[in-house]
Amino acid sequence: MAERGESSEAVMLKKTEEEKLRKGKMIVGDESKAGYEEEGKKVKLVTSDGVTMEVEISIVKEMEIIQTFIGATDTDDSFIFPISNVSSHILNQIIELVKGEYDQELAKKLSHDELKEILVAANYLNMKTLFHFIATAIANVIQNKSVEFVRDFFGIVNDFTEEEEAELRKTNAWAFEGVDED
Amino acid sequence: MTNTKSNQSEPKEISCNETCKRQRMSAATAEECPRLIPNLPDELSIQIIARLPRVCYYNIRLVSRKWKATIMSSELYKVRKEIGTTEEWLYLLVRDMENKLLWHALDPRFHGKLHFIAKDSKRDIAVLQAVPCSNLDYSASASTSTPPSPKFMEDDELFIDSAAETDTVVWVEVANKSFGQAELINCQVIDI
Repeated sequence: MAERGESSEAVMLKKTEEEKLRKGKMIVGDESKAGYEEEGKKVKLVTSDGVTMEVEISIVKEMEIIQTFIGATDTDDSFIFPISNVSSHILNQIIELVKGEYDQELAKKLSHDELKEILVAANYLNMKTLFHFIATAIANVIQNKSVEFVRDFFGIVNDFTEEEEAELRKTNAWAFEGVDED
Repeated sequence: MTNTKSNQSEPKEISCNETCKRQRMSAATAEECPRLIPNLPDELSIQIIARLPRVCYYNIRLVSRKWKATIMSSELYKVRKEIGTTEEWLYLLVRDMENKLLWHALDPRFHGKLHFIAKDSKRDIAVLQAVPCSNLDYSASASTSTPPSPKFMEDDELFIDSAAETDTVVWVEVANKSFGQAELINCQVIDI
């Protein structure tokens, strides 16, 4: 009885020590092997302009299109993913936005073309948070602006005749008459 | 490849339209079926428009024919539902002295959820909102910035028994519009 008790206690001790060791390893991080799965790992992405960029896994994780590939294949350092619709310039902007935790102030520095290209890239890479962030940023730019500003901003040609536009402008702002609510 | 002389004799509407469009792209972008936003797929442009407060639609429908059609399309409202940007709009149907029926719409953006519509003896129509009193700062500012709501409620025909709630809730008037002699026919809150 006593022997058994001792041995099981010893096993327990051994187990907790092992656990401690493992935990210690995980926290401290064995530079070569531990943390291989998470931090520090980079994925090589080849942009539309042929630039190979090493992007942190934390950022790549937001790109659902790549995640599905990473999940399907056994990845190692030689893993290279081509993103033929995204230029290196736009990918750099995306990385900055993700690292900046989607600060609307950062979006204000982007040009109209950059905003549009990031939206297309976010859609292509299936980055849901980025997509919502950029779509909202663009909406914020045109919100409460004049019709002329919206046309200029996007480069849209006004295809109303003068009479049609005058007629539309006459409508009472309070009444959405003629709008089908269904 | 398919665009040979012999092929053209046979009317192929779709492919012809496609090539015409492509050829004309650079010359006249505003011709048949231009995109909402140049160089951006329409499904992405709709995602932008759906994130605008609905009050902006009145203005931006003037951008182009395509924008106007989109703003009046059910597709846009489907997207708004999907991404949760619908707003509660209050619509009032009023009959004026010339027997003309008119819809009036109230933008709820700054008001949040609407709770109550009241019509007083002066035929002013007011929209009220219940504000919980637990937040002292809010109730204090509400009572100073707007006339105390109980006063408003006193001469109100539509008054609903809320006396028991006065400890916890303050009715704040969030909008008021005089319709003169016009008669209120109907009012509806539409989540759109």
